[in-house]
Amino acid sequence: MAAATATTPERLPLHLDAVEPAPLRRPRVLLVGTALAAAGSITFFGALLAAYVALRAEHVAGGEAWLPDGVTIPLSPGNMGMITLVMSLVTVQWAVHAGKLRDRAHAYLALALTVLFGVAHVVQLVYLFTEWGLPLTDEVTVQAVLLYTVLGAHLAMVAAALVFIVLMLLRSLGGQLTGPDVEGLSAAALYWYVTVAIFAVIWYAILIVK
Amino acid sequence: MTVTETEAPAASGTPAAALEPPRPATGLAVVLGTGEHRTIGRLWVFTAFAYLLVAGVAGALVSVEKIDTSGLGDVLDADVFGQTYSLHAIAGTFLFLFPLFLGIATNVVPAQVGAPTVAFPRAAAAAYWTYLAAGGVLIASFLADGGPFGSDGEAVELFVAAFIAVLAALTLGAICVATTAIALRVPGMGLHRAPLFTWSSLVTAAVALLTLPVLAALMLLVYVDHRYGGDGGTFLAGSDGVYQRIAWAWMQPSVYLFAIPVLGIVGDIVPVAARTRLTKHRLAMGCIGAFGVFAFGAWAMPAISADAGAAAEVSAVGEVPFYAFSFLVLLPLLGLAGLLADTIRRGSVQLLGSLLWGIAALLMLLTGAANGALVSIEPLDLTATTAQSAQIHYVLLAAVLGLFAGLAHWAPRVLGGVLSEVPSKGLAALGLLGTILLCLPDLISGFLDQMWRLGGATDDVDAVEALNIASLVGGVLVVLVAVAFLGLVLQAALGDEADRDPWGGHTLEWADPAAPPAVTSEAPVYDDRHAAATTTEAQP
Repeated sequence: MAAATATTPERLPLHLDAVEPAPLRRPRVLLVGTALAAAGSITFFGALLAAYVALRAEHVAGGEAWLPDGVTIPLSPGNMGMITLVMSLVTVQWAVHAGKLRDRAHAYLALALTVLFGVAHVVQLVYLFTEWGLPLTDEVTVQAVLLYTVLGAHLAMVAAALVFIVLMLLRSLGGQLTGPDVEGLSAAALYWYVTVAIFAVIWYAILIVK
Repeated sequence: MTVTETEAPAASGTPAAALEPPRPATGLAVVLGTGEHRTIGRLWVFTAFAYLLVAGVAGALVSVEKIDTSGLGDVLDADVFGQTYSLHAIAGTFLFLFPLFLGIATNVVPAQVGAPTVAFPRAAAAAYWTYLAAGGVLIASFLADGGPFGSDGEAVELFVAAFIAVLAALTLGAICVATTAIALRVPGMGLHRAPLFTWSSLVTAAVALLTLPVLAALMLLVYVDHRYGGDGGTFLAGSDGVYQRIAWAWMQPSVYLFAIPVLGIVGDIVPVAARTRLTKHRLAMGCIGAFGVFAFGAWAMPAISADAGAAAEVSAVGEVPFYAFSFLVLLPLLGLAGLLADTIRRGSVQLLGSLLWGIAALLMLLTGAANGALVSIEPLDLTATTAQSAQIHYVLLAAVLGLFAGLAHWAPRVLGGVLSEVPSKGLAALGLLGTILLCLPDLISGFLDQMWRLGGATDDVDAVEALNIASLVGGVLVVLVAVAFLGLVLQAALGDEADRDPWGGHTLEWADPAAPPAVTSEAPVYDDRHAAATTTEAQP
């Protein structure tokens, strides 16, 4: 068995010239990578929305209504989906804050609620798909292609963001992501913010304006 | 106050085997399970060369078919011509050029910024394996009568799905490289002091992040439309529409995306070969950044329209922004060329093979940009003629020559050995000759109204056919040069290990890892060996 003994004086003398400079802080790698991935996601959905707007404008310019006869986009599921995601913004930020304070219990609770809101959003959008009467199996229209592609791609983004959050939740359970450097939680939260922001644009441009 | 710390006793009863480190992987497991950035970089490089052979063969078939201007059917039927042409273009850009850049960058950028590895090494490995598998499926889809202009609906959809996966892999690889350049630089190395190749890699990745997801989004729309809207789709106008949704990516201005790394490579090689410093480092970075801005071209794609005629037109041609981008892109190129020429003038040049490749690349890139400016002038009516394909080939082959320059320069890091200098210099000269021979006749025949895809209504058939033969010879020469260069690469990879720094390099990747240089001066991070002779600045 090895033993080490150290003596600490009552008062430390101030030798400022001997103080090591604070280590330089690099940008946080996971946060930077996530920001770049989020930028790629924004570009992706920007292109999808541009295609939607271009084809819709062409269609409407011909004097026709955009949505085919018999097709309506009910407001309630989309609005509830938006409200659910806005609520999740609070919980995901709560998780980051709790992580910084090393308050694990609240971090777990906040992350679990975020996941719950995310799943609820997916359920609401799937319900919307069953309600709007837009077939994707026969007599497929350009409207069906665009709506299912844009909203389906966003559902995939929500799923990916949820996987990211669950992964960070598991790492938090392992004790890795608390303290001042809650980089993983911050990165997952950043991607979630971008996911919600993109849905806000989709919600307004497609589900409200139609 | 006295504090006594006592080391905890080792847990008794622990099996000895549990304390042993895991056995290092051997054989194929080293490659398949690697997260080591140098190995991943090599995998990108060698796989890219394998896909280049596919692109080269397809390109040769297209060139042979083009000789006879009366129509199709000499070698390729009309329905196969479009598929072969698009295979040549897609494999050449997305399966060869961009992956080759990623291979070099994954290997070199971490070393240039003093990082032990690339950011997210497992993601970088995942990007490579996705690219390998999806690239194979993409080529297989062409064999199954898929791809753009394909007549088998399911094979067309297989192509689109594989292409989306390739784009996702390239985007992920670009994110790893960009994150390394942003977040893993050694303390003291601000971004303004990063080596030019690192900077150009960051610019390339940034422009790729603005371009590749747009292409992926369009492909997703194409997939859903083709899958559920029938072979004709609801707005695609059949598999021809698939080609229209992709082709903008290798047309002006997006085509310059593939050439951005060339500027950084040449910018790093010239000061080493000239044995002096590049004095205007920040200006050179500005030139590369400006070139990147002009390489963003998603806005100039054909209209997304349910009207097949409108969808086939590049509506940006003739518009002010298109003119501006086409001409302004020349400025950063000329600026950087001037800086490098000044460096060569001030220095004592050693004629390295990498320098010759680099100069050839820069010359061809300048020529391609000038060609692009010509094509953008609407009254000349050069759009969709062989003058436009000449411009694309100039730029893409400049990118090939530049990436070969990078491989020749960083061979000790990327391949483990050095390329034989004499054959490398000869191949650089032949590569330049082949590029000119391939592109210049096409530029001239474009003025004679030769269309680039389906023959044409030219008035001077004999002249155009002679030019097409010259272009074919140039194409064959380029393919032979590429194959011979691959031989040199393999020789270097399998040969003796090279010295750590055979060229007297200036940047961190050449430094001895046991003694990294202090980074305290305002100058770019250079090894100090050449500093005393070229500057009067006090060095640490």
